[in-house]
Amino acid sequence: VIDRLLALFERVHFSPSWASLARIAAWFVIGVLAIDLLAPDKRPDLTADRYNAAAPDPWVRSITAPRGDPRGFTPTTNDDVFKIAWVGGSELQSIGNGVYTFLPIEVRKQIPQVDGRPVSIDMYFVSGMRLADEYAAVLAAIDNDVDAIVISLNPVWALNDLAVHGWDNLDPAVARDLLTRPGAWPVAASLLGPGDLLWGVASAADVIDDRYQWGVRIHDNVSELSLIDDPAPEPSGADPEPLSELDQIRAMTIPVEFWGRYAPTVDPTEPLAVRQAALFERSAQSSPINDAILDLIGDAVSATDIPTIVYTAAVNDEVLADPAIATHVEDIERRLGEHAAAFDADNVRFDPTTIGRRAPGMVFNDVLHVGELGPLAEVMAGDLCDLFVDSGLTPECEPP
Amino acid sequence: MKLRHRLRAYAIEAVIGLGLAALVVVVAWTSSGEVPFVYRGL
Repeated sequence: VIDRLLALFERVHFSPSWASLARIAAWFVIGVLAIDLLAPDKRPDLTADRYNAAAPDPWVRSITAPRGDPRGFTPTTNDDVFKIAWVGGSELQSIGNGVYTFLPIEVRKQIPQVDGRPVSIDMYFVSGMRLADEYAAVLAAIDNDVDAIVISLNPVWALNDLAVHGWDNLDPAVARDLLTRPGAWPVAASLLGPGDLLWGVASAADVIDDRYQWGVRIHDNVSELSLIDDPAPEPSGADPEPLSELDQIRAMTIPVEFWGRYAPTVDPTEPLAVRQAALFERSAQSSPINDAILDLIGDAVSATDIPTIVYTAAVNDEVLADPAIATHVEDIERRLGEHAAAFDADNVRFDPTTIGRRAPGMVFNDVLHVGELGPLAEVMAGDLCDLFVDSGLTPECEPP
Repeated sequence: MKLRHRLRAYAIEAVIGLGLAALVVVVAWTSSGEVPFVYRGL
């Protein structure tokens, strides 16, 4: 192809040289910048987010873009507010008795102001958040220059090597951030690719950064266009053939779906209680990649002066009362505690013990997901107020 | 090289550079999210 191109160029008296390559690169940069200037900037609509629609609050909102959107997080303004970044997964939700809320919403009711500024909470809420996603969110929060950070560690997944990484749309921003963090390069080499770095750097241009939103718009406009006449098949009335095992695996979208079924620790036909015990047991075992990422999270927050709380999310009291599982939870807490050195800084509070032990009376929908927060919001608000006072701030703490 | 040939060479370089920029933007817009013609390998 190159020979043919060169022959074609020769025919029009164009002899490429290194100088012409440099000029082409310059035109390329000019072209991208020109398109960047001409195309209007896009911004995700946070009010359209389904979690914000379900639990609207003027001071607390999820800022996570849809899965697939490489912008990842869309922080709100820090002007004239005390901004808290709250990082966590589905354990932040409380769903029960017709009430849908988030732990940060209930905590914010008890800390309306800090230093005379209204508290505003950006939730880096990632459904199905795994530890690498959590690291991405922490890096984003630090980049966004927030006033305080709260990090929820999910005891089921924080140390579980069956699913380390769920939201790969966050990878380009992580790759760019890690350029200046050489200590994270071994983990970056394990989870990221060169393409992530390229996209991450190119995202400096809004026209590249907004590509998901442009893509969805193009999709809406062209999805009905087709040159192929492909009518929908007539319904035959017969039951569709069940998918083969291989097709079922092909339909899986994230690794945990595979490992949930083929986890080497437990037979998938075992009762739920046995599989749950196995899940906790798996989390209590050694996992070097999880250990490395957890230390990186600690290093990242310890290197800042941002007041930070890192807590371990609550698990169901029934789990703690079951000796067969409780021992695994204690092992998880012990293993989390082994990372205390990474979080050892004046601005960081790290608690490897599940916070549910200090908030008895919570209601759960399963081992981890909350039905009623009970006293949890009060416990968290108390911890945050203590941290702010110790950090020289003046919080307005209102008990419920 | 004649001036005419040199100007033509510059024009070809500009077309290639700007064309690549347009191509990269199109690939970016169509390689993310729920787009039907996905070029994730690129």
